[in-house]
Amino acid sequence: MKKIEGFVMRRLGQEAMIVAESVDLIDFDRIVSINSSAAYIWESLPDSDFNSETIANLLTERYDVDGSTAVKDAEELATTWLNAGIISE
Amino acid sequence: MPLQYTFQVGGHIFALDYPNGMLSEKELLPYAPFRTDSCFVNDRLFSLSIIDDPDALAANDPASANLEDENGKTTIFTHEDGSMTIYLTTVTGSQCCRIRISEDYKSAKAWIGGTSGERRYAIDTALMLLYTFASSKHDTLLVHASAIELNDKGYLFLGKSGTGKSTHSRLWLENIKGPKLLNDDNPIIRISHGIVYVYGSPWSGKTSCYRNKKIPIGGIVRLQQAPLNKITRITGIKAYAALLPSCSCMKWDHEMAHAIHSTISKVIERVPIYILECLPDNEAAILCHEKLEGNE
Repeated sequence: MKKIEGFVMRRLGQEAMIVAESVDLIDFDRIVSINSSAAYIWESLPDSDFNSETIANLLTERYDVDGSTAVKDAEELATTWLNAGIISE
Repeated sequence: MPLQYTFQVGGHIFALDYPNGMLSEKELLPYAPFRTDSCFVNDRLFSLSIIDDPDALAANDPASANLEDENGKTTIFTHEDGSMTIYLTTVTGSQCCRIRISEDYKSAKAWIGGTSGERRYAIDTALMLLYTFASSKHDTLLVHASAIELNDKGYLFLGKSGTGKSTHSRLWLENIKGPKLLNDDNPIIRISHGIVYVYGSPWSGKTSCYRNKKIPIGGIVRLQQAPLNKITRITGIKAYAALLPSCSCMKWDHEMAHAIHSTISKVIERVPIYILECLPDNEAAILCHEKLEGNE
């Protein structure tokens, strides 16, 4: 998976969101609201390819979660982001 | 000798010069209330010179963006030296404007042509583009909205094209005592010493309402067509998302996007933002007014 170029994270007080800032993205007004752990993941992910294992590792590094929960959460997050159109397969 | 005028819009000063005869009084009429005599070059947000040779502004690089809206097409070329050229083409397909803008957005040259209506569109669009680019770092937003004033407060109505922003303003004028239209298409929001103001501008769409006035904002309302009237106060990301689509910005320019983000964040902290689901009827204006002027 890969972040789609042009989507950037912006913080608003305690909240965070992903917004479209690229000439190639048609819908500039799309805003995806994300929670604090998702914001940490987005910031920590590389611009190059990653998979749900990359996300799961980031979760276990930062939070007190067991491996199987982290994998499940990572897969859920990846699905949400794929559906939101901010990352690609 | 070219003619030169300076104008003050949203508190920012800009200069416009053009060869004698190039622009008519009709094209400059909306700008008349904003004329100023300031001659300090350093105070200027930007300067635009109108020239009569389109070939001098030809862009040879491939286009970096093509944007289309109901008024026509905007083609953007970015050059190696950081400058940018923009072509404006009307819906009928005739090119009516070429603009070359310096990297710092402070100086620009433009050629304008076509029919009287196209020339008016060209000069307005060129100045609005420059204004948006150059003012973005100064806590300023050019917004697509209809704005009214009532009891020394300004209220802005935002929404997609065709939602009924102007209609909603008119309903306030007809149903509530005392409001006056401030601008019907592109007012300016600017934060100064922590206070968020709305300013009238020379850009008011189809309504001739070019008022040089500044008032603190009492509320910003995003309109959505609905089968009923309902108003809801929103905060945080929802408020941000209500304001962002109505702010002029080149979102792919990271510096500009960052500046606009920072300004919107400050505005939504200081001004109440609402969503008004509404019908185009008197009740909508009465409900909206009660909420905005009432004490919550």
